[in-house]
Amino acid sequence: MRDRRGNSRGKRVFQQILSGLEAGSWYALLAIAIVIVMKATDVPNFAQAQIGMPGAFIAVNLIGQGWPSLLAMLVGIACGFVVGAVIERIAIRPLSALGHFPMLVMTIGLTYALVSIVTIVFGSEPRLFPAPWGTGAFEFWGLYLPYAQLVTIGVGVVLAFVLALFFRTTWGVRMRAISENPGVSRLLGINSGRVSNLAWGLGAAISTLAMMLHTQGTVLADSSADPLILKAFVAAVLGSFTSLTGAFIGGLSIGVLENLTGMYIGTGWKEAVALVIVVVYLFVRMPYLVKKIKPREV
Amino acid sequence: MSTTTPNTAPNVAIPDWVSHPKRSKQSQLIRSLLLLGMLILPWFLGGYYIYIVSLVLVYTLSTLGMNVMVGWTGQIGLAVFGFFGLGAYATSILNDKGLPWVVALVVVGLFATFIGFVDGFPAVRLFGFFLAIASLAFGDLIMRFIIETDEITGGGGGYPVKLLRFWGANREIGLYYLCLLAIVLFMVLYGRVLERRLGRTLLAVNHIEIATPSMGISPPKYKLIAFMTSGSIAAIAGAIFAQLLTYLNPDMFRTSLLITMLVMLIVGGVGSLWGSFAGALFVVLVQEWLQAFAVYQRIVFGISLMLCIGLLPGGLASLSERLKTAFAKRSGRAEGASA
Repeated sequence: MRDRRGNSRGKRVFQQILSGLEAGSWYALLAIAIVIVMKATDVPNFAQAQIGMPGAFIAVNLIGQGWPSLLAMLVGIACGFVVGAVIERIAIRPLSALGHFPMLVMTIGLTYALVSIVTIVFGSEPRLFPAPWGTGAFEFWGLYLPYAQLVTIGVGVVLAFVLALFFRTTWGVRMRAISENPGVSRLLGINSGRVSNLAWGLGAAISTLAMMLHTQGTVLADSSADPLILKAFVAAVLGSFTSLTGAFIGGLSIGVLENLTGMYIGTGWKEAVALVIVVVYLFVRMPYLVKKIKPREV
Repeated sequence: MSTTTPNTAPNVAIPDWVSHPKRSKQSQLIRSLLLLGMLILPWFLGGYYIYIVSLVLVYTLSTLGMNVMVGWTGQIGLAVFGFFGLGAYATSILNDKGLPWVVALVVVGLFATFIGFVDGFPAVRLFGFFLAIASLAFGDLIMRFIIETDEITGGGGGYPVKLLRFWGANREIGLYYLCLLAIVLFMVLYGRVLERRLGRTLLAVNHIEIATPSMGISPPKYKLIAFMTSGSIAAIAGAIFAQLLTYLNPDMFRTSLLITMLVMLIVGGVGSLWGSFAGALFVVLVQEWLQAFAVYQRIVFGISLMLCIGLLPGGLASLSERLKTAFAKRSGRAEGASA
């Protein structure tokens, strides 16, 4: 079987897996951000993709004004960090006493508010996001390896590694302690407010990076965040919302499975893969995820 | 998972009727007068306004359905938008294939109950966030299925609805009475079932889940009942919605609809009948006023959701109660000062 370019089936599968890994890296990064926020604040952030929009838009604007791309992207990520920390302080922390449902609804409200504010401030027309590494590609044994895909996959792996190291530092340990047992860690003198502030900032910065990697080389539009969030959540579920490694591997596998489904079954069903995965996964893992009643609560 | 099991149940005040089950004569009178007012409304309102009121009623119905699950049993089930879309599509398609609309509605209502069972069976055993994500994915899966079976549903291109005819009567008015009938039927169901034993059991499952097994109540069973009820109510609301809209497009039933539904639920007030109506009214008014400005619509919805959750946890429905207590406090203080 050979296609127009004369590629064999094996090579086509390889190309699909490569672009699957690229898409998977976006999901994985967002899933990691979700897990980090979850660890510190115990809320699934439905706005995790949208929270990266302001930073990404700022970066595109700066590039449009002639800033060097890499510097603009760094500034965008820094802005993303600030956005996340500010949102945690004004919107999330006041609700932490009210329980989880209000916080969850708050993040859903944030998805709308963030996107519309970005649209009002920056305009609604899609913007070109030129990547600093250009649109070129390696040609290697007849395989086609675009720089954009390699950079995305590389950044994902490096970031996951760095974050794994981060959770061994003091702040990382504090964050883990908070998620393990908020009451006791507060007694031990951990400032949970500052930890959750850091977590939201960090999560937003990672989301900004994921949004940039998602839109680089193409256009950044107000709807760019929408297709990512559900898959990122599925990836986070695969890591049971606690494991960074699980979330990362989950994200990559969703990306790859999606592309293979698109190749073998039909492009329309690509979107359904993540949904099927999460339903099946929850079904299979159900006995481990049920709420356990502790004797002392009764 | 962390060692503390998260209590994800929304904070809902236990309704009055749990402690005072007998309805007062006064409230019965108010209800009858209200129904009479709704019955003669078409004589006073023009076609467009009747359409708006019908839309409010349909949204109220779907919010009531969502309330059975979120308000009564405290489960964050987010699949309602999928059931709404399923009802809209399935009823219209069956009607197109020759089944009378009412029969199609009943069939689809039963089918949605079954789908609610399929969705709920694994979901009710999950807690909190896993339930939220699983049901969100399930709702989206229903819509994805509708988009992909495009030979039947028209896919992304949309589907023209075969319109109901009301024996020569004005279509808008006929639809209005249809919506009213649906709401009245729900209220009957509410009075007969949800205000009685079942409703109380569901509330118990929400508020004292830990204690329920020792009283012989199986929480998963009752959560499942709530799932199925809210699924079929949402599907019926969707079927009527399709008649109001006359043209279906899958994009109308995606996650943006979920957010609209959450706005109705939260801004109106979780677990409140009047709140469902107030929320639906709020959403329809905003949608109509800001029809040409989708961005402003979104920002109003997003911010009202955020404000309500933070500042007005009981929603609009709790407003009168709050005003009353604030007023009582102030007058009490004034009396104290004068004395």
